[in-house]
Amino acid sequence: MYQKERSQPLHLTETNQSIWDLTSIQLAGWTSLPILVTSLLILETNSIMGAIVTTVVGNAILWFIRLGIIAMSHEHRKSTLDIARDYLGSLGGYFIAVLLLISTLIWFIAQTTAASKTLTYLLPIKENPEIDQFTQVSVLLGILSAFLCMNGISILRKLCAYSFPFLIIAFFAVLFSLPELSLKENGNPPSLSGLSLILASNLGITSDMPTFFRHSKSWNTSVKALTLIQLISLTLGLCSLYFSAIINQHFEIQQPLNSETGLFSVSLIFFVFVSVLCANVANVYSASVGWELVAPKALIGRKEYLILGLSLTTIFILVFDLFPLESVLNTSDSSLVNLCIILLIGHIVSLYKKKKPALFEKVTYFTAWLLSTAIDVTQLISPNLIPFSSLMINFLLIVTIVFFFFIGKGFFDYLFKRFAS
Amino acid sequence: MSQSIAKKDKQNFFFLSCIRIASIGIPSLGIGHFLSEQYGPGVAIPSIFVGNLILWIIGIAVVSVTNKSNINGVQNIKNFIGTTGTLLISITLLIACFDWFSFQINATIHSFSNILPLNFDIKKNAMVRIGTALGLLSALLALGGMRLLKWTSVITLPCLILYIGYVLAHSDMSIIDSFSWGLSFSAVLTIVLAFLAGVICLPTFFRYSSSLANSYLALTIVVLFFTLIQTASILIKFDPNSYGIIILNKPSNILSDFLIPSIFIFLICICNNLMNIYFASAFYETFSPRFYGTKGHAIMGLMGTATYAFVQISPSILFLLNLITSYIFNLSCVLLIAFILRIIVKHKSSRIEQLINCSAWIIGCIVGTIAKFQNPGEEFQFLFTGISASALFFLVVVFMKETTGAIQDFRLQRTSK
Repeated sequence: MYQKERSQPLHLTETNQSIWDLTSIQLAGWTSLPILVTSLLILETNSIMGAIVTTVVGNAILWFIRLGIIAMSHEHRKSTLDIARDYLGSLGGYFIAVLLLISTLIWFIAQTTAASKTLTYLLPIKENPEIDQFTQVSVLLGILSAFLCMNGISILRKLCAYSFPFLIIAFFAVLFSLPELSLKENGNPPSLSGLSLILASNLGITSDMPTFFRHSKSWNTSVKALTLIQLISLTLGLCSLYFSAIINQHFEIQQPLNSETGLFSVSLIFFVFVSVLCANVANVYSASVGWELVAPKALIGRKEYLILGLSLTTIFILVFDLFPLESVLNTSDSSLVNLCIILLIGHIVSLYKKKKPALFEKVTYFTAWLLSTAIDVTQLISPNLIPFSSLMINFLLIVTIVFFFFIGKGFFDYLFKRFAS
Repeated sequence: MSQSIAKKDKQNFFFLSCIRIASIGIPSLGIGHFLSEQYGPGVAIPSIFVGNLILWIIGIAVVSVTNKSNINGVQNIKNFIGTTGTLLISITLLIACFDWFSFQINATIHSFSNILPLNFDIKKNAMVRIGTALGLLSALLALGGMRLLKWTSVITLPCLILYIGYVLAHSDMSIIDSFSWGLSFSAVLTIVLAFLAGVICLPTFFRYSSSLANSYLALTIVVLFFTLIQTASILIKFDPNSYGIIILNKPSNILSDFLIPSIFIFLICICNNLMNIYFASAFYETFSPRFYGTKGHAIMGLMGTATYAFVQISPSILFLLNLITSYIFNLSCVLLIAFILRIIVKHKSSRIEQLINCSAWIIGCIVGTIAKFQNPGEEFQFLFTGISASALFFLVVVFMKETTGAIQDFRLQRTSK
């Protein structure tokens, strides 16, 4: 009975979001410095032309994958967690709920810490030496994020819809006021070597898309919004290649700034400040679906965004900058990428079989996800144990497990029929 | 607009007194010690008794007025001052609540820093972070409503009783022999002023009382307990930086020297901050009922935390907050005189009366502000100047009003004859 009650989305208030709403939430909510930095990482192992081609191809693949993921959520306006439970079963649903909460916490800490460092660097405020400016900026961002989390999707929609145009303006203002607007050939051969990087850094977000796209007005709106998102992402990704001059791979500003770059500083401060707030609010909303499954009933409803926002901010204030989060961030992201791959495979199998996943399939998908995530955790503990790309290993593992489980089941079904006859 | 209290939310005297006692706050634990240092223990103890007796009388008056209508502290003020004046007062009280919230966290952090075995550099940043986290945690717990506050207080009260027991067990009773008994007006006033704002805001909590008898009983228990705590702090020597938390020596035993005091400090701070959030909620609920409930509590908690994190350090802000504290004391005096006058003259609340009360308060604030600017170093004088101006204006205007009213009545009577 309890499970039946929870199988329907709780208090889904907004189901009329337009193309602009969906696009702005995805882009303002997720396109923060860590996402933009992907382009910089591609350029480290690729030529300029190679990086451009890789970004274009990566976005095309992402569009296709995301279309499949959104199609899953469209029919019953299901969130990521609802879909995960359809394919991974109830137990799997609990695992994914916890994963969403952990992932949100780590992203919240990582993004806010990166933004605080950037803002502390950019804001030339001379204060009492007894006051730690970095701590104060972090506290400010944390408190503002908690403030904005209060009303869930409705405030997120307004925040993103209004701030996104200004974010774009700020982005281009930063771009055109860069101290050096040129791309230098780095001597790397052109290739598609950064493709896995694009997929790895975006598939985690992709698996979260149903939670946001369930608010879409119609299927048509969702497809148009997705196309617009990919086109703008592509443009931003290409433009971000120019940021290699000022941002390092830890999302921190690396070039000393002089007083002549006033527009650059103001635009970058605005961009970082607003984008981190949008990202945190989107993060909290994404985690709320996980919270709805694992939290007691009394803590669900209007209060849940407040509880999540305040809890995340409190944890962030206590633990930020105490230990490096990069490895944990990669692991949680990889687990979400695994989920995305499994959901896609499950969807294709369901389309082929023309029926929803049965218990055996759910066990198969859950086992595949659990094992691939176990590999990610192993890599977190001993980084040098597996020398290959995590995405590649996980993809192969998932496909192999699904293949053998289905072959095994077919074989046993065949034997059972033979003995029965 | 008064929010109706559900029957299940009604509390008996035990829970009401628990809530108020547990939220005494860390700085108030050491107020007796502060008076003892200033005036000597023989003067401090009788002054504490007299001060608390005065507070009890004021509390009885405030609770009696508001009991039947189930109104909160601000709605009570609105009856005396009018809507416009109450809006100004609400803003003043809101700022004061954030100040208290921040002050409480500061006191907690000071107490923590005395027991945490860390070096200065680590401590400096860790303390700001712990303080902010405490503020956020208070905001989070405020979402639990009255029920959570009640149970947090019930858990904290035994800790407080143990604290008093510990203080008395370790107290230096030999100092009693050297007492020269006396009473100080300033000491009594300090006690009254320190808790007056809390007494004025009592209806915010006592509207949850199940009956007037429960309210009276709760108030009596609270006053007795406060008197005991303040007296107990006179009998022991402690580090003045610890805000009343006793640190006997350097932490050596992690359980007794670090863990138990930390839990005690934490609980007292949380209870007080939850109470501050509830006090603050009464101020905006009166004018914007849509913020009634959890959302409003979270906003208040966040704003209090922001005050702690950004504002508390600046000296100019501390100056402003001193002024605001004096405005609240002015208000308390005006309300008290207005209340006594209403009992004596037996007038119903009228616009002219509200206007007089409001004007008296504003004049007191203006005079107090001028006095503070003229003599910024003085701690109490501007306070007395403001209160005196309010009282003088109030009495002169009321004298004129009542006399004019009497003459008009006299003329009317003569005309009718």
